[in-house]
Amino acid sequence: MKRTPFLITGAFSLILLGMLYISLNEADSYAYSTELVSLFLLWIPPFLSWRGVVELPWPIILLIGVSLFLHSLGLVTLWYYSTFWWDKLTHFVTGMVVAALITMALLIIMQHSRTITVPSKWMVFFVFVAVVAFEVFWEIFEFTMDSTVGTNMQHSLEDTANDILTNFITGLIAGVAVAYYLSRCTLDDFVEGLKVERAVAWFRRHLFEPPA
Amino acid sequence: MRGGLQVGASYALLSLLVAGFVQEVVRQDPFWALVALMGIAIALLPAVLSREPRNVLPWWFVLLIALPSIGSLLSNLLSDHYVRLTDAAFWIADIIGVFMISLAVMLVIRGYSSVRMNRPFLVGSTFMVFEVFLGAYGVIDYQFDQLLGTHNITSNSAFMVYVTISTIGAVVLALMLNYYIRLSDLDSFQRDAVGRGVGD
Repeated sequence: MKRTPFLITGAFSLILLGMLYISLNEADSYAYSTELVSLFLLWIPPFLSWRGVVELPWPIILLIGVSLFLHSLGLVTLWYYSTFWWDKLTHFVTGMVVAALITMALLIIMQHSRTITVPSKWMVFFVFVAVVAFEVFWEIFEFTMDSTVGTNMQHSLEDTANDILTNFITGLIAGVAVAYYLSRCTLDDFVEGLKVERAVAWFRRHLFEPPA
Repeated sequence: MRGGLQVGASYALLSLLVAGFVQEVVRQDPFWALVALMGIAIALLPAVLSREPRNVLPWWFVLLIALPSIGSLLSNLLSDHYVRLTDAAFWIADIIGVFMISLAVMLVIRGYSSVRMNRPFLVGSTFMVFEVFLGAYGVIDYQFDQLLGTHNITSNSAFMVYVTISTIGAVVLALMLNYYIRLSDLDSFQRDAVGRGVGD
């Protein structure tokens, strides 16, 4: 694993551990369980890199760290409840993470498939659709958690509608940014840096070309 | 090329979509007015892009797209005679209608742009576009409720139950679509639907 992603993950882990300590002291079960899940999510990219599945570029790892940090910070400081724009900020950053991951997945698929081609100008549409769709999935997840576990993730109809609206805007911004970025670089250069040959071979073997 | 009777049926069904659009505007329900409008636009788009009026979406496709409008018009007519369509029937009509608009969008993109996609990618994208419609439903109707004082969405839980059930319905439809295209052939299905296959 490269040094920079490891350092980023380590730094955010220390911050999240600090927040976990505070939440445990305050016996805030929702906050500390969220921070534990955040720590788990934070270490998925290094684990995938260590297993040789994919090496995410460090800006994406940084973005993942920032989104998890902002979410936990909002819970520890209660800014989710006191600052009206905090929720929109976290939705915006998380939308950017989703856009980055979707773009990477799409580029890898395009690089290794003969039947899928998405020109860079059409990335605006596909990234937008993916970001909004994942936002709707997230709202369903929040509603399910509130209904079954008794959390208070969804506050009101206004909150839900504005969260979705935030991600409509995020999807549009991310889509334009991705299309602009891809119009200035080659697909081969980008995908080669990800070192996904092993993962692609696995998918081909198990999903697309099942053994006889 | 489709026969005159089939093309006539498509245009006749399009008039139902126009009637549905007018009704939703009168009822001040902006999302469903937008769905009807998008249904009209996407049904006519292949004909416009190919400059061939006969390339309007086939009647069965337009019928499925028009289901929410037909349901809405029927409920309006039948309510005067004390007959009420169940909520479940409305929901199924809405889900199928919006899913078919999503499918038409993806087929038009595949047929008339340089985007190329295989069956799983097409089905997955259709499902995602459907989810965008659900998101738009929440945003548009909520904003209009605030602006006009209407009550198209009554509460957060009512909205989320609708979104959750619609998503489950869309998963079922996506699996059925995937199975159907797998049995036939994506290019011939697309040619039949939007009048143009890849490479035509």
